[in-house]
Amino acid sequence: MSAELFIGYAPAFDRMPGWTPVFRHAYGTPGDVVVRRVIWSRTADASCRLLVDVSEGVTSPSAERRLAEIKDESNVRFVEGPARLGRGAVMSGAVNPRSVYFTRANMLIWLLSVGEGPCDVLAFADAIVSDLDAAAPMQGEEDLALKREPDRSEAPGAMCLRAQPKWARGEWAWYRFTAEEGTLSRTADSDDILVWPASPRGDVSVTGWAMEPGRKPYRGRYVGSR
Amino acid sequence: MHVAEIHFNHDTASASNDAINLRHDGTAGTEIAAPEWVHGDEPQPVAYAAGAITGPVTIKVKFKDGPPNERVSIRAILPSDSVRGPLRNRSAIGPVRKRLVQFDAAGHSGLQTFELQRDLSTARTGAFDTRWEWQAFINGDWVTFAGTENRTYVVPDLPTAPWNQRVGANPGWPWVAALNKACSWAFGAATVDEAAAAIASALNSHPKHTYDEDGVQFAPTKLGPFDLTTYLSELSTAASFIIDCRGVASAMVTFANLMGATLLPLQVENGNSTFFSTKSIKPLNAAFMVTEWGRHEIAVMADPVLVPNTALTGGAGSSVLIYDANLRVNQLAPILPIQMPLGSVSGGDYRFHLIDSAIDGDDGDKVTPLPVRPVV
Repeated sequence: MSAELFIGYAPAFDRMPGWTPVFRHAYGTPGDVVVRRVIWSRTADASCRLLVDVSEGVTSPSAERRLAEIKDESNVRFVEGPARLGRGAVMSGAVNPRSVYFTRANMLIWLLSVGEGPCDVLAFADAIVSDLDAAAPMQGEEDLALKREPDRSEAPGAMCLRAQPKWARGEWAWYRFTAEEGTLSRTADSDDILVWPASPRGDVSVTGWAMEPGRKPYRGRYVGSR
Repeated sequence: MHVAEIHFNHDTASASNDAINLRHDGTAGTEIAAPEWVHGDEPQPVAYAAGAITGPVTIKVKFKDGPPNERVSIRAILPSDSVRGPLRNRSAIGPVRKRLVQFDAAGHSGLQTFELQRDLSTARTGAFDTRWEWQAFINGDWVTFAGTENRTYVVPDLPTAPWNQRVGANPGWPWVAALNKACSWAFGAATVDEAAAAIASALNSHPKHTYDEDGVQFAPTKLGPFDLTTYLSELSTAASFIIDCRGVASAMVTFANLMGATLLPLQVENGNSTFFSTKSIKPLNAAFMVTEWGRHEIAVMADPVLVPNTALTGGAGSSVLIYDANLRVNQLAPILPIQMPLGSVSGGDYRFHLIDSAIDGDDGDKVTPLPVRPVV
């Protein structure tokens, strides 16, 4: 499992002007908690359309399993994707690929040019990575509460935390969490997170960020032990 | 006097004498409940499964502001067109037989059961706007006192998986959004087979479909759901979009089974899991081409020999009937392979037309029936 976890992410591409979201949809599927799908259309040319699926799994291995499943079943002969997208990234062709798949923590992210017009899927993939990396450690006020919840019987040994931002989350809001001295997974039935301490003593610290386009990132920290 | 409400689906446990259970789409809470027509409200669509009808179809109607403590004969007819006469083509379900209705002291009728005049068990597939002129027999003459209109769908038989008629939380009832498409593609079909063939043809020739192996967005995995919500949205809003064989097969199964067919997905591949070479084929709107696939997915009519997730190898299953809406075969005299035996690479059937066995001994001899994908 990974020491990083994302919940609720779907790309808003606020740094990619000229593209408009035209469809948004989320559904559950076996092996994933939820698939968040957004389709974007280029304002100046509606034949240029981009589909982004973020399959949000419980853990990082679940995202890797899903990618392996897709590669195994596909008729597409994938080539290795750019290293900047992480280990295991693949795309459909070395030049102007129509699709690119990569994982980040518990997410499998898939970009697909679904229209007839050109669409640089790698540029959008880079924009997503920038999004995800933007929640870097910050100094200052801690304004995202991370509260301990009762332990889950289905996750013995894990601590359960709930993030409580100051504001009601909007459509494009999402969380990023990182753990020190432990790994993270999410619950399947809520947005609570499970923290799995690495040490026998069970000491762990978790940092969380609440992100939403147009707002400053909010940050919170939890330090505790099992 | 006016019509207060009409109940078309007045028995959710049965479709033999009334309308079937429907929902607008996959969104939770979009189930449609009787009364589907309420005075002053937006009318709700209704649907009938012709093959499930076993007797006279009834509706239940409530009237208000009638003559207190009197009995009145009431009926509904199709509106007349001064040039063409009754607009029969605008309604598959026809007029409503007259009956006597008793009004109470307040002028209310309570729910009254009426029979439809037409035999819906032989109705043809389609989507119709059912307009009725409600008439009362007053002083020796039929007098129109109200008009109602409902979108009405007729399908050849009860929908099968992924659809169902079960009553419970978030049921798999047919989506109106899907009926809109399926009934227009299969308009006029008298049987399930005719409807399935029409749907295959419509999918294959749809001008918005462009075949691409990358276009797995509607069914990204073998055992995952079919994203019907995205598919319907793309059909409505996109100028065109890419789609792969699994997406086409999923659409074929989903829409044909909405008409009462019993199709399921079938994956065709080489037994040794290598890519197979095709003969010259025409995927959707592309030109005839030769390509290589690791797998190809089609739809197949349910058959006892087909057990989901259990692969058949060699010649097993060669007599099952397939529907491949994704491509045309036989370049010299193109064929849309529907209701065609799966066959083998040496016969004259589907695998013979699809696979070039002269290359590497490809034979597509492993076929795996898959469970019908749920829709999301």
